[in-house]
Amino acid sequence: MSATLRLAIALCLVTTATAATLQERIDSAAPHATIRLEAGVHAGPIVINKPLSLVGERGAEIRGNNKGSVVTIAADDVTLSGLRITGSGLQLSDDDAAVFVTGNRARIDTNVIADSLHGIYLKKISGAQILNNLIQGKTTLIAASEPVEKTIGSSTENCDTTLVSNRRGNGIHQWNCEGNLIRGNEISETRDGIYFSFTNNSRVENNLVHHVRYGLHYMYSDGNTFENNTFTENAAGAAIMFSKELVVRGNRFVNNRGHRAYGLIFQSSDRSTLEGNEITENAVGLSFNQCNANKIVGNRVTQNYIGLRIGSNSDDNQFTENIFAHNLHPVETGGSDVSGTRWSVNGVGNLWDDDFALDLDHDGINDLPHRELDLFGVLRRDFPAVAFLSGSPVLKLLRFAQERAALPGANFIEDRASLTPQFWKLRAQRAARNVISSSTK
Amino acid sequence: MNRAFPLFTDAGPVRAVLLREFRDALINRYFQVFAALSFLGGVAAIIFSEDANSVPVLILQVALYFVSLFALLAGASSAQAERDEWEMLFAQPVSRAAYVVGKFVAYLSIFAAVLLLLFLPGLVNGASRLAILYLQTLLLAAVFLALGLTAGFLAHDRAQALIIGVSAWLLLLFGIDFIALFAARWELTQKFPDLWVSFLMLNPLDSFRIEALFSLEQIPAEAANKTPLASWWIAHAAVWFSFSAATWSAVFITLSGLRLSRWED
Repeated sequence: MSATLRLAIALCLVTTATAATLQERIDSAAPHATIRLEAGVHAGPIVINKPLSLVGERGAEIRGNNKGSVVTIAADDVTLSGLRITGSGLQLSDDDAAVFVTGNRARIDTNVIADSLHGIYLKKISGAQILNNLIQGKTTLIAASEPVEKTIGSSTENCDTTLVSNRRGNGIHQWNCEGNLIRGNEISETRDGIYFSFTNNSRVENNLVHHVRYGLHYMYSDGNTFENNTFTENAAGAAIMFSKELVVRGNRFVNNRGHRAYGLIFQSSDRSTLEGNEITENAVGLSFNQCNANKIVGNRVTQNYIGLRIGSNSDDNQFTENIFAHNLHPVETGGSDVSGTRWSVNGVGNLWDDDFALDLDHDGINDLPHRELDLFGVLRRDFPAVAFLSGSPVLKLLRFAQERAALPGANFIEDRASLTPQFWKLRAQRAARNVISSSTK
Repeated sequence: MNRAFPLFTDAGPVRAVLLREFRDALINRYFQVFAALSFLGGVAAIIFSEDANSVPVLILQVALYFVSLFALLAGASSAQAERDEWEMLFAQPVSRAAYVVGKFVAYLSIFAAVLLLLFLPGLVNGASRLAILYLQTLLLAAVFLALGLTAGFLAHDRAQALIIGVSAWLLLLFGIDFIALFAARWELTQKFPDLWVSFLMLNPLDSFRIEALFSLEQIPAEAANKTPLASWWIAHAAVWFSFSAATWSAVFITLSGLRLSRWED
């Protein structure tokens, strides 16, 4: 074979290789291979049906055709990393997503996902790791419309129309999953940030969710842990419903406002622990309804319109070491019977900022019970205009009176061991003294 | 018959009263205490606020209780200051209205200066919303200054002026809302919620509180959209408060002028 012919064949092979579609490269790759995607736009949609790694170089993008999902992971042990993924379909009924996962142990990290319905959709899988992705929801649609002036031309023009949040997809959507890890992602402008349904024993850590409808929309899922996430400037921070044995620790639910916005709502959820969360500047900070045997420990509930709303049929919930401060209405019971709730555990109650402290033995625990009055009670429901009295001096006056003697007919909760601001300092000092004395012995 | 309100053709007496009240305020211990407390209030609002956003909420409390009361007492006290010399003063060929308006303008200017001490520490901290709250607080001070002047001119002596003034303040601060809270339980009130809302709207302290809490602080309005008047109030809280404060101030100033006019008769 002449040198010229060999060169022609080689050139042809190279051309064929570079012209191969991404799907063809995936199909031809060996299991557990790593495919490095060069910078530039690679046409989707693609289906990954064998264990392999798809790693994008800087500037690599997989762009869908606005139909279905862009990347479908249908095999176990697939890694998707360093990519920009855009252009899924917009059919909510078809669960269209930028990344649709049905294989176990998928690792999806450091991707940028935009211009899609759902960001990452996990369906009936286990052991997925969703790490450090940036997910931006699709907020506008390119919609055809009539020309502004029909006399100018007969063709239609393209213009952007807003995609209302109810028509958007979720940032990370999980259904019927087990043992996933969701860490370090930033999600914005989606319908719900992180959605859990029938998903158990997963961890959600260090994520930032903002400008969505529900930061966390969660139901029928047990044994999950949420730690150190921030849910801010959403219509509602987190709604946790019909679940049990959760740990919600060290999260921030901040500035979730709107007429019916909550920082954190617990509905029909039992035996969970809420610990060390910051719940600040929400319409309703923390809401409990039909919840039993939950432990609410060491949370900061501050600067909310209503600090704590506790509804009917809730029993054996324990509140201790929480800080309720600068809330316009610290507690709302709505006239419900909340006698089954414990406001102190082992003689340690909560800190109420308007408490008239009397701590004679200087142990950081007030010697007189603190009564938190809910003056509006059922009036909120029967006569919503009563909210115009929020922050009125007369409410403060009546609360002051309530501290001295229970007002007849008024709804209130009673913390028999409310804390002074010095409680934590005094306890730390006592602990230090105990350590020193035990070490000297 | 005295000339009750030929004010705009007769600015000289207004200027004279104004200058006299300024000079008086400079050596008035009451105002010195007020200035000191205002500054301390402003500093305290910063110290005890969790962040810059909560500074206006604390200052709102100071304005509701402290500024309204001080303005009212200042007005009542000023109205009684020359009570024994009225006969001699009003023998002068000047309008009684000039005397009332002069006092009102002088004290309002002094309050504008002293209130800066309350707001300045917060402004330094970058709470820009305080600038709006400052103007609203000044309007509130105007209402209570005018109310204090009316109480002072109506009363026969200083003690009576204080009793009338403080009673009016307690009624506006606690009484109206206390009545409203109880009335909210009545079936008739619940049938006509706008009537109940308009009752609150008439109280300048309630207008101020709603403006500051619901509008300035953007606290979600649970009551909004429930009735036409409630939605209108929430949407136009600043406009309503400004209008209400200006109207009440004008009403009280007019009452004071009429009272002085009748006094000679």
